[in-house]
Amino acid sequence: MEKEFVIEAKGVTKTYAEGEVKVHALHPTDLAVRRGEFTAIAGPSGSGKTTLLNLVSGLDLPTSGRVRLAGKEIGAMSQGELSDFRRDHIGLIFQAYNLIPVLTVGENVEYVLLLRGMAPGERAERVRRVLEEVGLGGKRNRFPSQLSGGQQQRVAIARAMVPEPDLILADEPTANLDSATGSALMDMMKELNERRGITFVFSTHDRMIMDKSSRLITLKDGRVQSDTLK
Amino acid sequence: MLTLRMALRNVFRNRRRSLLTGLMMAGGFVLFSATIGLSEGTYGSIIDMFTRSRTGHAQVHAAGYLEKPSLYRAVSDMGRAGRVLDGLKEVKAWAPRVYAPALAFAGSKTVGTQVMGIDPARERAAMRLETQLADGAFVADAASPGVVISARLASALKIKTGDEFSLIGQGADGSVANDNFRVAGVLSATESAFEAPWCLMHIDTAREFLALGGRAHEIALVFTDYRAAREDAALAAAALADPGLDVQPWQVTEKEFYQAMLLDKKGGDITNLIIMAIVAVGVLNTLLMAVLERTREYGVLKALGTRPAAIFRLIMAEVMLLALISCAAGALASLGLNHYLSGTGIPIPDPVSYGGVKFTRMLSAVTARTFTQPAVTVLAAALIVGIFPALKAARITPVKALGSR
Repeated sequence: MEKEFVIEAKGVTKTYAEGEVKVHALHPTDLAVRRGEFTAIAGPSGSGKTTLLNLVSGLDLPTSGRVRLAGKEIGAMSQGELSDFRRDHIGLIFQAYNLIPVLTVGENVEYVLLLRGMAPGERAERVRRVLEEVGLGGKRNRFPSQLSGGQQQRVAIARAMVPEPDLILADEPTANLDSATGSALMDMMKELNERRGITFVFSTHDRMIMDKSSRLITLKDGRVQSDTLK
Repeated sequence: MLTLRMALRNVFRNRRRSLLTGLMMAGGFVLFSATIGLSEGTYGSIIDMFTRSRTGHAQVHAAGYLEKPSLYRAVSDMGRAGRVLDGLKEVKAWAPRVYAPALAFAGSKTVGTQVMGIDPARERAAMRLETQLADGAFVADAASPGVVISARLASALKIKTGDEFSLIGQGADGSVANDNFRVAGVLSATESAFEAPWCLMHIDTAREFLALGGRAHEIALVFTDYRAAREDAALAAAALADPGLDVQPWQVTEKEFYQAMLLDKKGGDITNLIIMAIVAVGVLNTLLMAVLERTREYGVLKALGTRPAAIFRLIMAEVMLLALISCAAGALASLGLNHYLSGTGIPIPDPVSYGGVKFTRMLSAVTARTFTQPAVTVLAAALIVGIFPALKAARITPVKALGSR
């Protein structure tokens, strides 16, 4: 039996106005991602991959077209509802890690659980478990500035997966890391995908991520060029 | 709890900036507190100077006397009133007085005057009438024809200490009051609360002259604390329990002086508000800078699912924490400064004299208001100033914020 769709985008476009000039960042695009997929969206800079990721994460709204996430239409949601939707359904990993510098590793991970109103006991247990999983069990009380780039991205991964979301979206997650660290992190995410069934969608122009993904979508000039299942 | 922890750590994140902002707020607190202290101290001195010159902190009259003074509206049972007032711990001293208009004659000169009968011993304990004497002696402790006149009466009648003059008035029994008096002393022309043509004599002399018996037109009260004049006047009225008597604090008996003082105080409050507005603008600028610098961070928080209201609360918590810390520091500094100003004070280049008292320095009065008003103002200013940056941060669009550096 086929798994249900986590992402269903139909005819989505995004046009930015730069002064009087209109920039078509994304031409009409369809995208459907099933639960448990490990998908990479690849393409050169300016190809529209980050734009597509922003649209399917609810961080941005399309100029036209429809986006359904985890079975919910997000186009009609208010900013507050979108915030709640991201909190409940989506984990985000950024290229620049984007950890909160005044929070410790443990607090950074715990923060998203706190937003969900989880009980303190369960929060502590989940944070402990997920930090063990990403190999940072002993660094719970460190601040982000006391960690290496690879370790910070592990914290970001832990933060994204701790609420057990329907979908984790990662924007160029290895771009700021050396190739060995990047590869190790990808292996870790792949293992999480296989073992826990978490759906991952990456935007990347890193060949290594493309190789490790189970589905590769390529974009060029805001249009899908290819969509390959491996 | 995590929001508070984040707010506290954010406060200490850019220490130099937080220190400068905190210093601005604490500085405003200290300035505000010192101004209030000096204002309270100065007004305290003025009120003391004014009330102890003649008025007292409160006055007892026969009902209706204040609105329409009359020789016939007098406190008749002085024995009972005196016993009741002696039994009140709030009443430090009291002094009975009689008043009546009269005509003063000396040689070919005639002047309308106001006769005031006083009990010198009681006045000495309650007031500073004697210190306003410029020449001669004060009213003797026993009834005598020796009287003290104001400089204006002396000038109008062209008489001096030792001279004689006559008074004609109306007695309370309907008779014509007529007698000769001797000038025992003259009050100061510049430092006296008796500017009009006054004639002060012993109360028994005045009672006999005006056929008043044991009655008095006024009982001046001096309380242990002038600031509680209203409350203590109400207490005295309750204790006297006589609907025929009217007890009013100095704010009522000297309404014009009190209104002028309130107006002057309002002017001071406006100055303080201007100080706080300048501080607030400085703090607003710093906060806006901080929000601008952390735009990306707020974008991340929103991307993770933080609601705008939570970001608003985070910024407000930061501002209020900084304001609380600043208030604590400001209160400590103000305590030291006000303590110094209440002891040493600020010298007045041209000392002022009134009612026989010379004011050479401005002294601060340390009261609860010295600390509560600056604290409330600083916290309120921080709260108001924090709203705009907090709203700005709360309204950040995550996708735009994440693109900012």
